[in-house]
Amino acid sequence: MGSPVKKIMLCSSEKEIFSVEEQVMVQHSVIINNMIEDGSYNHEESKIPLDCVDSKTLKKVIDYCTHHTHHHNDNQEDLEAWDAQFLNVDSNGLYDLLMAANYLEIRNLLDLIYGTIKNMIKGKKIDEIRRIFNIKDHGFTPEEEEQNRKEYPHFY
Amino acid sequence: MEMTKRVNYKNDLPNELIIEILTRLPVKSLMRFKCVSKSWFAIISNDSFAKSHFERSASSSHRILCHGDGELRSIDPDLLFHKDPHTTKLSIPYSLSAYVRIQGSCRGFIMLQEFPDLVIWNPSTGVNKRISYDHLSPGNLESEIILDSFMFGFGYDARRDDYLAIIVWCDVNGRRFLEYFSVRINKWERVEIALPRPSMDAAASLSSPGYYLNGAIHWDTSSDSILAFDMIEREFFEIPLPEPLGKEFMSCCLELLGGFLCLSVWRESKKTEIWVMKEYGVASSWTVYRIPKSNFDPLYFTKSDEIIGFPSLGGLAKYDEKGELRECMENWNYEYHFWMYLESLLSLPSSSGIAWKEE
Repeated sequence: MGSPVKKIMLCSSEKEIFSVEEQVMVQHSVIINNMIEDGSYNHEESKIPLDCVDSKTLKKVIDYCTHHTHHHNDNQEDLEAWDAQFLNVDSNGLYDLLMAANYLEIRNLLDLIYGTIKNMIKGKKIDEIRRIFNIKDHGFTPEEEEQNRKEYPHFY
Repeated sequence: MEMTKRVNYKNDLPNELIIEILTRLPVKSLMRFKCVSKSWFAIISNDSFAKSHFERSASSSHRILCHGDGELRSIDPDLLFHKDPHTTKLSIPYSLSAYVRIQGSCRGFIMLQEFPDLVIWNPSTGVNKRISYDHLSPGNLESEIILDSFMFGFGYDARRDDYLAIIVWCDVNGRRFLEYFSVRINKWERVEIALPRPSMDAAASLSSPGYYLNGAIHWDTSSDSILAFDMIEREFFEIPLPEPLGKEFMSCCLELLGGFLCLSVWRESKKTEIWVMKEYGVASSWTVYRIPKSNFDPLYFTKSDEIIGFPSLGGLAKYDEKGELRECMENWNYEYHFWMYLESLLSLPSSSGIAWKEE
């Protein structure tokens, strides 16, 4: 039957416990890989607390890592289609994923998210960017802002 | 551990992540996004951001400068075959006339030349610097100068983080000089030089522009090799023409094609050979593309190994590596001159007295 698959426990901000194949997380997350390697994770009693990742986001992250571990031999097109479907979330969801991927240092997921955000914003006007990034205080004086709007009306 | 609830989502997107996102955007978006907020303005205007942005995007940010009809325009090479390729009209810096010559480009800068001025110009940001070479006008020199011996070039010296504008010229006694302007030191220097082989002396007077690639400027000399100048060592060297090229051709013209040195060779047959040096400095990497048209003038090498250029009878055409026609457009304005450059946010080093240190 072979040896059982080694699992690790991840704990979301809502204290929900997720049990994941160790190999899946080690392969993708630099942080978890380091914890396993330096022995700071004890398989009998440790749970890795991810206080800034909620359950919904953590589940998505685990989905991503699992799929990319087990399907890394799929053809590029299928993987890209899966990724596109995976990132078909609203901007709150995208933001949460970005923060989680950054925290766990999942490089390929980070690149995927950055690429998606890039395509989402590259042609956008200033007012839309401010809305997407929820920038309430742009920091310009009213005079500077007016000057910019006058000089580059097509930017806004 | 208690987690503080995020009330204002996204206001807390850390600066380092904003930088990661912005690093991936094209220059055009970034120039606009300077107006998003003061903190975005600060990120985008930062010199080290400009450098890391350039290093990340250099392979993907080619633009074409179109020069003609008294104006300069910029086109995205991926949109060449679009009905409306969205050209951007550029305002020519200083009081240069519309008939300036483009003599080189490097890291997003273009060097324009109109006697007695050189202007180093980043068309994406508008940053520019005027350099006068009036000291080389005939009346200002002791020895008599051969005016049509001028060869210009512009390039980057990575060791000293400096840009050099270069003029190679010759006097009536056959002495050859290298005149270079360091942007960082803000001053011209002159050294007497000899070209790597004497046969170049006769040929190197074509006022060919200098093509900057891989830390060196390259000139067409119509001889057996390409003349090159190493920006760091500040020495001339030569790159032999591909051996199988032979000598039986009517003309052989050096160009820079999407980041590769390239020779377009016209023979009597109704074909044009485009020789591309796929790996810089490696003689065995010269690869030939045979275009079934005479006098085909290449412009751009696409990511999918296709060559875009101008057939002699006008229009614009795209051929694949087998010489099959992939796309063509007949009503293309042929009155323009074209120059490939990279988009960058880079600015020029200031000459505020910070001298570089020799290692």
